[in-house]
Amino acid sequence: MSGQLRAGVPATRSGHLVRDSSLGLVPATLDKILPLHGGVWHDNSLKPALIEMLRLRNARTVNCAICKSVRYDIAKQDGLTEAKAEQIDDNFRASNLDPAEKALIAFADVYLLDPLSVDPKLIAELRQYFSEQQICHMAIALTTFHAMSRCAVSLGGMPESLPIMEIPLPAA
Amino acid sequence: MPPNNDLTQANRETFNSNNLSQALSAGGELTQAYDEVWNMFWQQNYIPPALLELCRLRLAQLHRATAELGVRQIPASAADEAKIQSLLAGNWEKNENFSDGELAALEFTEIYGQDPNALRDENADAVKRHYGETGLVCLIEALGFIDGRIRLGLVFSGIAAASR
Repeated sequence: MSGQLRAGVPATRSGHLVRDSSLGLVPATLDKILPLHGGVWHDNSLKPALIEMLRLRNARTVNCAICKSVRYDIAKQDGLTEAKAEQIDDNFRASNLDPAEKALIAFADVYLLDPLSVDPKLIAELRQYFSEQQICHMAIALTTFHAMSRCAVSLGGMPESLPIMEIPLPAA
Repeated sequence: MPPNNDLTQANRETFNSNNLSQALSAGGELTQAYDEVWNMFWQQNYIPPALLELCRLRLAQLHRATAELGVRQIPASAADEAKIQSLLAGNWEKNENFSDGELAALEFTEIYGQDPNALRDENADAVKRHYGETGLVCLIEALGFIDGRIRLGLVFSGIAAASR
């Protein structure tokens, strides 16, 4: 892991967390990515607590220190407690999470770890708890989080760890 | 004749980056926003789309996404088919027709595809020498969405297969 940021940041600060990072060097791409990120939270048929569970499962798999430390206030307000967040680990199947949450995390693991290994039993399980629309929204949320966390890691400057911090969603 | 595993897998893979929107059609506005990001990367001016196409195909190889390897994101007139064939044959690293910038971006892609935590500052510096900081940022963003779209193609192909 690099302690050195591999690209600079915009000369002018805007006060926007993402636009002031290295990603802000290319506003043309951010102008499309930020609305997608906003849509992942605001145009999603899944509850914010479930979206946050996908995000945290991704963060821990990619090992992005920043993503792992963040808790979005919208998810906490929706009922995602720290006790529940701690259960989103490799032993989630044996945890106290409910069956729908376990199916959601199992879906994330297929995407994150081996997309060629889709188990028909998992699909049946997913369909028991989620609609087609929710499965699509789950997939788009996950792939967006995955792309952005890999982005953060690739740009370097990542600390080994950070304390948990509750923040609002960045503006689109 | 023994079964052709590649063909068998390609037949199983219903979805790839070109037709993934069909699998995600129930997603409505969110799918549209996702597709807009995808389309934007093939129209930006920071990394040549022909190079991005090579990076996409390399990631598809790493994922063993057979159907993905059979589609193209840019018109044939804009692609360098000789380089594509060299990449698919696995000899791109020794092919003198690849520019230093293309090799730097492909080496970056190679490591990114396996584990972005394994990228070194030298990999980023090599990309920056040819495409600048903006090119590095754009490449990193694009790789994230390319990698993700390949993954989703495989996952939704699996879902489609499970439904048959």
